[in-house]
Amino acid sequence: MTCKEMILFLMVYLESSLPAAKRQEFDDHLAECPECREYLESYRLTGVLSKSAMLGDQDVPAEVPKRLVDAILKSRSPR
Amino acid sequence: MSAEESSLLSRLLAGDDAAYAQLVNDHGPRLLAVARRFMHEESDAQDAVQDGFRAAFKALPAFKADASLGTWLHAIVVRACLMKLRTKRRRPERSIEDLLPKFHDDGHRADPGAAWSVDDDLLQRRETRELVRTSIDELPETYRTVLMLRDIEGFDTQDTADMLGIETNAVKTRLHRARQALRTLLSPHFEAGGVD
Repeated sequence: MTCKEMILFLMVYLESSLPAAKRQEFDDHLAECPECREYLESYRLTGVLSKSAMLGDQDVPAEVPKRLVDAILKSRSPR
Repeated sequence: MSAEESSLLSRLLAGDDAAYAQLVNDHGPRLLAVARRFMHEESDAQDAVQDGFRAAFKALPAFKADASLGTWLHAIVVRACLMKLRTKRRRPERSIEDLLPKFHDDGHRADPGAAWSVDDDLLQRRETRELVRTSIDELPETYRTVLMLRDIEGFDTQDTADMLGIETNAVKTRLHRARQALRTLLSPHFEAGGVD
C-alpha cells in the first residue's frame, strides 16, 4: 500500500467499514509510515477543531431579535 | 416526545397564539445560531429562520411525533438555509484540487508536514475558533456545505444526500475532500502548535 492509497481511503478506514484483510493492510502501512500516522492524526484533529469552533453554546443568542419574532409570527397563515 | 412538548403540539394544532410565540421563543435562538453557521450575512440568516418557521407552521399538521420538535425544526431551518444558499450569487472560490495532498509518482506524499499539536487550552481559545471558522468559510461552497451537514449539524450520509439531491457516494467523496482541504488550510497554524 502507498501513502496515496492510504490517504485516499482514510475516511473509510476511520469509519471501520473496511473488510478485515484490507484493514490489516492499512494497519501495516501505518505501523511503518510516520508521515501517514501524522496525517491521520491531523485529519482527526481537523474534525475536533471544526466541532469545537462551530458548536459552542456561546454562539446561541439569549433571544431572537423582536423584529424577527414578530415577522415569524406574522407569517402564520390565518386559521 | 416529552409530555410538555406533546401539550405544546396540541396547542399549536389548535391554533393557540401563545403556543406559537412559545415555539419561536424556545427554539428561535438555537435555530438562529444554526442559520448563522450557514449564511454569510446576518440578514440572510434571519431570513432563513423566518422561512424555516413559515415552512414548519405549514407542515405542523403532518408532524410525526417520532422526533422532537427541536430536531424537526433544525432540519427545516437547515433546508431553508440550503435553499437560500442556492439562490445567492457564488463567491469567487479556490479549486479544491489546490487544497488536496500532493503525491510523487511512487505514491509518497510530496508535501509532508510536521506533526500537529493541539491541546485543550488551544482548542478553547477564541483565536483558534475564529481561525477554524474562517478556514471553513474558505472551502468551495459545495464542499463547505457537505462538511457542515455531516460534521457540524450531524446529519447522516443519506439525509445529507437527500437534502442536496446528490448520491450518497458523492456525499462521501465531498466530505473526505472537504476534511482534507480544511486540514491543508489549518496545517500551517497547528504544525507549530500555535495560532498565528
